[in-house]
Amino acid sequence: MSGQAPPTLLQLAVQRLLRDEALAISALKDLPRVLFPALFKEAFNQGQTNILRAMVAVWPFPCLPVGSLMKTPHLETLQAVLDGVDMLWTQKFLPRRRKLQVLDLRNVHHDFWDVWVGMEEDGDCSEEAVCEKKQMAERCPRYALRRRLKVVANLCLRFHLNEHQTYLLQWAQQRRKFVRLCCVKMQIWALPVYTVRKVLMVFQPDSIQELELNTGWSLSSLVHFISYLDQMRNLQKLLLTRSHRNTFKVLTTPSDIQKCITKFVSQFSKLNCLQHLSMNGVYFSSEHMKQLFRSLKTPLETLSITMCKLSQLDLNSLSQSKSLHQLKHLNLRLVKLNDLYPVPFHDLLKSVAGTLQTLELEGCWMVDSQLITLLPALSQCSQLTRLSFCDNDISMAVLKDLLYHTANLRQLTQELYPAPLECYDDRGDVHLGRFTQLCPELMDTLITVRQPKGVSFASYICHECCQRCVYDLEIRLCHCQQ
Amino acid sequence: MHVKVISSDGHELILEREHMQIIRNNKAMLSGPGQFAENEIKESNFRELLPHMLRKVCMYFTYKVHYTSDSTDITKFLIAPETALELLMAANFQDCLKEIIASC
Repeated sequence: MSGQAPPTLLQLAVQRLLRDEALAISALKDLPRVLFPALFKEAFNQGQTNILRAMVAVWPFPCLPVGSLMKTPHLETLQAVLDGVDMLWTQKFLPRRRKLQVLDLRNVHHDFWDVWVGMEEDGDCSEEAVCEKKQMAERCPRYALRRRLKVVANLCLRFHLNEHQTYLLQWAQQRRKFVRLCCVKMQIWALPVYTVRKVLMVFQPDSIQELELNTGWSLSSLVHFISYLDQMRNLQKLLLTRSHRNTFKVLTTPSDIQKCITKFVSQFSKLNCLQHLSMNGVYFSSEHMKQLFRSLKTPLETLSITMCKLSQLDLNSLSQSKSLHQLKHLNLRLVKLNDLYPVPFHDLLKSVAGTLQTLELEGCWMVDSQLITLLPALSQCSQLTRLSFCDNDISMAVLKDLLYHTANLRQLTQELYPAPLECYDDRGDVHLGRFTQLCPELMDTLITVRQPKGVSFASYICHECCQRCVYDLEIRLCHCQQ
Repeated sequence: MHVKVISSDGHELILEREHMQIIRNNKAMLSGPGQFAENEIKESNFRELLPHMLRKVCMYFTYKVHYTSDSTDITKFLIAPETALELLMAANFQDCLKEIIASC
């Protein structure tokens, strides 16, 4: 017994046409442009590379977002698509003038393919809907007619280039006169810098908007990379993650290290579009941190400095930096603040009170006196939606005070607080009785000032079972306490 | 209740009303202002379609209605290869036919 609906007439006709490859290819010259997406998508799903090649060569829209169809990299399909692009320049007789301007290999523009699939019996065929669908097909990132075709791809480079990436780079390198290869998002994981240099010589560095560096590069490698960083003029998001302890200390003098980092930090003055900066386990001297924040030309939306130790001078630099006064997201997770004078941090919070949406202070080793100092500024951060204070040493009394100070934070949807210090016994283990008594008491305190949407109180991670005890209207104990 | 569909060269086909109900927005035609008398035939012109294509499209309507209301295994809807392109264009055009029928 079949529970399925019969296929649509469009689906049936597409499948029938594709069963005869020569017929399908010869039909392309008469095929209405509105039918190209449905036919292409089905040919793609069936792996009919000859038909794909022919269709790319006569693609009637400015953009071909083939990346959204590529669920997993498939070299043969990529080759067929790129061969089709080659045919754009080698065809002697063009049944249509070349329309294709952009080949998008990223996993975006899914709606392009869905729009045309919707041209079935159940589709909306009102004049407005049809018009909107046509506009959607024409809508592409705005590119003027250019001689060179633009090929857009995101790159995730892990350890070495895979065959897909190698093929694309070689293909683009050989066609530099005809093709502009652009990468919007580039992630580099433990890749030798000479390989990264090869990649950046093929791509347009100014096309990169998001760069993630997770490397254990030596100093000399970093120096080589710096020259490319200053060409990334449209960079909006930069993530730096240290994967080796001695990233900047291998076989070089302290003076060389300083010169290199000075040069690296100075590049930030050229990144006029930078909005999001993350440094995980990456730390420079206080002087360099100061220089970095002074170099920033435009206000940041996101600052994430995690897994390192900040000095008092660093904290002062943060609070004084005008480029941080419009922050929406501040993350200082696992940054030890316990021996720092907190007033500059209070000043920073005060300066971003009108814009800050997320504040992550998890694992900062804060104590009561520091948190108390922050409360007046925190209470003014009315745009906050997410707040995390887990893994800090805060007593019951100060936690209650904190909760009272959140009365005006009515946009909060996610709040993570530490279980109070009183929940632990002398050995630092969770005292079950106190945990089950004090956390609900804190919840009741919070409810007296506002209606929370998502709140939890969590203990430190248990050393034995690596779980937390959590209270969020119900108690979830770690494995050891169960 | 029946519907008469007329192709580009004036060739006519008559379908049962239940089959035409596959097409959305034709309710305006089938139950528009004023009730139709019993056995009255409503006409609609499909000027863009050649007769063999119109016939094939109508055969599809019958096939679809049959298997939508029947839980048996769906058999293949046969399409000759030389008509696949034409039918593809007709299938696409079929959506636009809803507007024509709705305006009848």
